[in-house]
Amino acid sequence: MINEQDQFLLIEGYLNGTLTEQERMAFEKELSENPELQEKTELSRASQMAIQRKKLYEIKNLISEVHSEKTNGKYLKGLALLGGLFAICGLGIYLSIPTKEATIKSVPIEVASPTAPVYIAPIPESQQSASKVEGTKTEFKKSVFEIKASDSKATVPENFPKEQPVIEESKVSPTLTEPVKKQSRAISNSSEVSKIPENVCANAILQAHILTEAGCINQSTGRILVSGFKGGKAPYTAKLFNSQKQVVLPENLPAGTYSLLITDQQECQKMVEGIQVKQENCQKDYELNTTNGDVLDLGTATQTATLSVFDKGEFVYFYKQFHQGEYIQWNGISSTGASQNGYFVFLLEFQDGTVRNGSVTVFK
Amino acid sequence: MAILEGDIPELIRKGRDKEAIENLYKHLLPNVTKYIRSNNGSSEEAMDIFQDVILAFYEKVMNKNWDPTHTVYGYLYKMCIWRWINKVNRDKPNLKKDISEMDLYIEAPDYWFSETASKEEETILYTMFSSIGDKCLELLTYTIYKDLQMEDIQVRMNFASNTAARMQHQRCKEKLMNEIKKQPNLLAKLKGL
Repeated sequence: MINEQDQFLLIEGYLNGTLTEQERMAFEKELSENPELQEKTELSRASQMAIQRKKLYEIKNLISEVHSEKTNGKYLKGLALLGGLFAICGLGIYLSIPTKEATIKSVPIEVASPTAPVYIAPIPESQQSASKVEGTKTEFKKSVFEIKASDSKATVPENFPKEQPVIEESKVSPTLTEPVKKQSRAISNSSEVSKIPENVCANAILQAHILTEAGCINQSTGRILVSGFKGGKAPYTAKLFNSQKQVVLPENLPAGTYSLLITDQQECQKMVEGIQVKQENCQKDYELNTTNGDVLDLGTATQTATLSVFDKGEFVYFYKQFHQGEYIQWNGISSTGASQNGYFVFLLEFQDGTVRNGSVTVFK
Repeated sequence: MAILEGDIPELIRKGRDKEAIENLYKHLLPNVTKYIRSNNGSSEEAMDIFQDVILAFYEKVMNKNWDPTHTVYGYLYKMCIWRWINKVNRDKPNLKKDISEMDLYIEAPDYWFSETASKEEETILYTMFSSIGDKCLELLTYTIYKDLQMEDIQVRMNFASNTAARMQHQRCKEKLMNEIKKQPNLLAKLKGL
């Protein structure tokens, strides 16, 4: 009668293809006659598949992460370039348009015939008005040369001084659209804010894949990964806002609720709200080289916490309580002053019950 | 030090996944994207194909099926092209194709990470593994590389002896099997693979 451990080794050998031909044939004969062995073998095989699947999911997420890192870099560069171009074009437009209306209009000035030059004097200061552009946070004042509709031909002497507009910029806050229901994967655009004729954005169904990665407890290590933009017209820009409506980068995020504004080339927009970045206990492996003076650094305690380090025999090797504001660190030395190489497991317990654990390999 | 393409399978066995993926992303994806975009595809489709083939490559390395006589970039590029051709033949049969190959044999498995099912399965797997403990998780992850000996695992995890490593492996595997038994749908799916 084969014992349990030997049976386990046989099953593992069979599944991994490491049995000899003779062993394999004997095992298969036993397998065909023993339903219990069949079930154990199937279960063992399923658990191997589960481990592989888990690893493959990790790789799938890693590929998305690498893709996001590369494309976010390109987007940020593109955003910066686009922002610069818009700033230059905007400044040019403001300087060139001579109007005091709320809507900026370009006023054509026709050159008079050389035989009948007409010169229009500037408007007295008392009649000058400030121009204000609604919908933005800028306002500017300028002198205008008012050209009446009847004066279709008018010239301005080349050397006539023109005042430059003074543009005061204030902080621009994002305009939030109506909140929409967040979907777990693809997001369809059901309500858009469009700055161009409504029928164009009505046909633009902006979509994107949004993945959130939880951060570690007591750390800002959360991420929001956005990819696969579709609908509307490329290129797309995306801005991420925290709960205080401040623009933030999509990594090193603390746990919380975020919003994402997607804009396409036609300025059709989609705001996605309620994106949750959670926090979790990160299983992290650390290595300490005590010769180099490495320390296990677990951040600053945001509340009272206790750090326990266990050796492979599950005995407490190190224990310390940290108060709020203290650095949570361990230098690899036991509570009794011993210094050993080896593999340890740490447990960091916070006053509110949250727990973080991981492993530490100490060597010197 | 620059990573050579021949180093990539070893990087994968050592768990240096980020380096391997970044290297493949840099050297392989641009060529795949260029080919697919010039053959009626999009960048998004190229990314999907790239991901599929990388996952299949990982399975090969895990199951000791990677033939080291292949060049990594060349082999994976070929797999990407073949997968694209078969996808075009399947999804866009009316599209005029310059490619004459039909029904190319694909060594890589079909894309099984369906959008709807994968998130649920991933959540179940992560929950299941988190309940067996960190040490077991680490040990079992090493065992998926079938050419990694128990002696290597013993050293990596600092077990006192080979026997201790094997016993711990058995205990962890049994823990996992008990967890899988609680998920009959997942078990049925895994048995079918």
